[in-house]
Amino acid sequence: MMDAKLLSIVTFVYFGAFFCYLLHVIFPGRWWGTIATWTSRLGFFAHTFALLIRWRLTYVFSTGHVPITNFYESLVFFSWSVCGLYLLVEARIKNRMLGVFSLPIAFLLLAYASFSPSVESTIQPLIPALQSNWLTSHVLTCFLAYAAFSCAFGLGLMYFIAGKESIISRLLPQRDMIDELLYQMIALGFVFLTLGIFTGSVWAHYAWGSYWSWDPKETWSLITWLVYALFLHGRFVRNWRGKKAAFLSLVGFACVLFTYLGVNYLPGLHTYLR
Amino acid sequence: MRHLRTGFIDILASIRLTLALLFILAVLGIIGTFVPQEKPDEVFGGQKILYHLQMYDIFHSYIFYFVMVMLSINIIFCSLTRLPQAWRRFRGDQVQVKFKIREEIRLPLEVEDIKSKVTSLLKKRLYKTPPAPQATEVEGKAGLSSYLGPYIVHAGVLVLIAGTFLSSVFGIEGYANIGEGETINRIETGKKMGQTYTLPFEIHLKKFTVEFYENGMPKQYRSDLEIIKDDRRSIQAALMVNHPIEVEGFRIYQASYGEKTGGEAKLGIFVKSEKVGEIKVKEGQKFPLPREEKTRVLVLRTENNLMHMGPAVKLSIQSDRGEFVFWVFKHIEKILASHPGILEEFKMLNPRLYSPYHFILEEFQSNYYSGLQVKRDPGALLVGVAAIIIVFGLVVTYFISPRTLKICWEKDEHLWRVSIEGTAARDISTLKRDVSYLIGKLVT
Ligand code: HEM
Repeated sequence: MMDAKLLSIVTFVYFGAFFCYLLHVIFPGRWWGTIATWTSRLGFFAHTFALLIRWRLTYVFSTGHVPITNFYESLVFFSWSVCGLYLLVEARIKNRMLGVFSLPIAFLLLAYASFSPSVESTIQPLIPALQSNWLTSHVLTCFLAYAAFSCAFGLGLMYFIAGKESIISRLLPQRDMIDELLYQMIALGFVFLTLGIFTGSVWAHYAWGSYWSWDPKETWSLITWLVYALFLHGRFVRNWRGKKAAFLSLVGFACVLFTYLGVNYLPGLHTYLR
Repeated sequence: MRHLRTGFIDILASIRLTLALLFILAVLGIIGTFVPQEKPDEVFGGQKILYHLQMYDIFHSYIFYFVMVMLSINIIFCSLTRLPQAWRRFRGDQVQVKFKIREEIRLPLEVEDIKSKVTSLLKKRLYKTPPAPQATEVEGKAGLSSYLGPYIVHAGVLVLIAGTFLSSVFGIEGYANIGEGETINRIETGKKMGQTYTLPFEIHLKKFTVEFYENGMPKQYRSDLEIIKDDRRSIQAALMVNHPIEVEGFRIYQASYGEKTGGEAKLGIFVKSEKVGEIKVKEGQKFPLPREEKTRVLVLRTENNLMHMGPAVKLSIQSDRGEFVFWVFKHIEKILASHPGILEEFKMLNPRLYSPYHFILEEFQSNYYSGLQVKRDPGALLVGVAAIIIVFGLVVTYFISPRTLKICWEKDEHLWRVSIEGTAARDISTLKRDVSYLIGKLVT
């Protein structure tokens, strides 16, 4: 399928971009950074194009749906959101360091989608329960949240590295700035995760007759939500900044990963994604 | 005594308690996904402790309810103690400063009436500008409603907790499998084995239909129902997945479907291309083969969708030539078109196996049952309202930025010296944008 082929090429472009960001760190100066940015923009553009092709193809091979309805498609969309959000952040803070942490996430997700034999990439028709606009908004908002949390995770790692005296740490933005950006990313992710949980509940309400049934994926999304709520309150009211905040961003991301992948090994409704 | 009471209230209003409660909730959630959430029939040894701690039904346990109640109390006390300050900030009586900006520009003296120009620019950026005492100064504030955001979120969380409480205490949920032509009014609630609930109306399934994709996955299924109320009035309703119907406070969902064994098939029997017989059969039925009265045909199975290839019946022909067992598919042409050569490979699929006879499955009437879920959930509406409040509160909190700008100017020999001072309480980027907008508009 054309979209899948294009996506496997994008995987290499992302890896190339990551490599350029790395070179940018080792050989500071204008060149590598600019190349890295344009490489990832190119990759993102092709990625977007591939998503559109796939969307079009769902009308050919099925009844037509936004392509975020199976595991393969969700990985592809996750990767797309991470790269897109990163590019936005880069343009806003005018610093390319986060690329070293974000691009590999985008790359790994896409590589897993494209090259793992256990991930089925064909376009499948939708079983009745999945034919719902609420489901589309649910998946969309959840993965935007995941992308924001992934960037926060990258920032958390960056914070720890920025603390150690080394060549690299001098290239990083100031720790205060990392800290502030980390907070903003988590706030953004929190809003989207909240939306994601609610739209998911509405969907479940119509499809399964119950807005909340404590299945493992639901429960873990709630746990993730609680961890980030903990972060926001700890920060706002007890002034958890710096290391504590960075550490919580790592814990939160571990929860995100478990919500996304880990729970597939526990029984429940959402396992249709497999 | 008074001391003790305020101390207690301080604890109930403290964020430390919030952090502890959120943490405990997360831990309960983790336990709830790793300890199977179904009541075991029997428990032994260490399991007994888990059982009495209600770890097998943790989300309806006393511990869980207790934490939720504590969280509600915590939110109420905390919000009440902090609301006055948030209100002062919202009214603009108290300014919170986290970020500061200061810029200075010079304008030629020809520029006149800076005051009204600055004021109108600030208004365009949604600043409120109370009349300033001095003629060379304008002060504006914007985005102050953001200060109320967290309180809106907290109010939403309270409504959410109330809604889920209503759902879990007064909600009714049950299932029923109903065949075509049947009428039921009892649902199994599943709280205890065999426990049922009697609905105030009857459900009659007139017809069940299911459509399939080419690969055999179900595409859509629907039940045509007739709901018969107490007063014998009835309503017709079509029920589909994702499109529940509502009856007297209950919602009925198309949850699943299944097949009872034994659909009814109409078989056409041919010799060469001449039709020699036509018969309606069910599973287990035996009939003599037309024109070969000694030979018996036994219907071994009727399948509505065998191996995703559509309806099929399995026949066994017992003749003096021996026993012939094979399947007769309804969509044999389609199967042959997509799998040429399959009949040679699998004799069992060949409807001409007992030559010169040839069987065609002309019609197939399956025997589906429809799986309905029936639910009454008095909390769902409240939960929906809560969701809207919470999302609204979050947007107010994070997408509105409280900020102030103060612009002063003085004559300096042959130009105006304009200073712009800004402060922001949550994020600085909006303020920065405002300042560059202002400078851009003033300079041109
Ligand atoms: C699950 C429940 C809760 C949710 C979803 C929630 C949500 C939020 C959010 C989104 C904020 C804004 C944080 C920020 O500025 O980044 C906030 C602030 C706050 N929350 Fe909560 N909260 C919850 C429970 C509580 C509880 C139980 C308390 C009680 C003590 C509390 C006390 C506060 C306080 C004091 C603030 C700062 C308010 C201010 O800006 O003036 N929260 N909450």
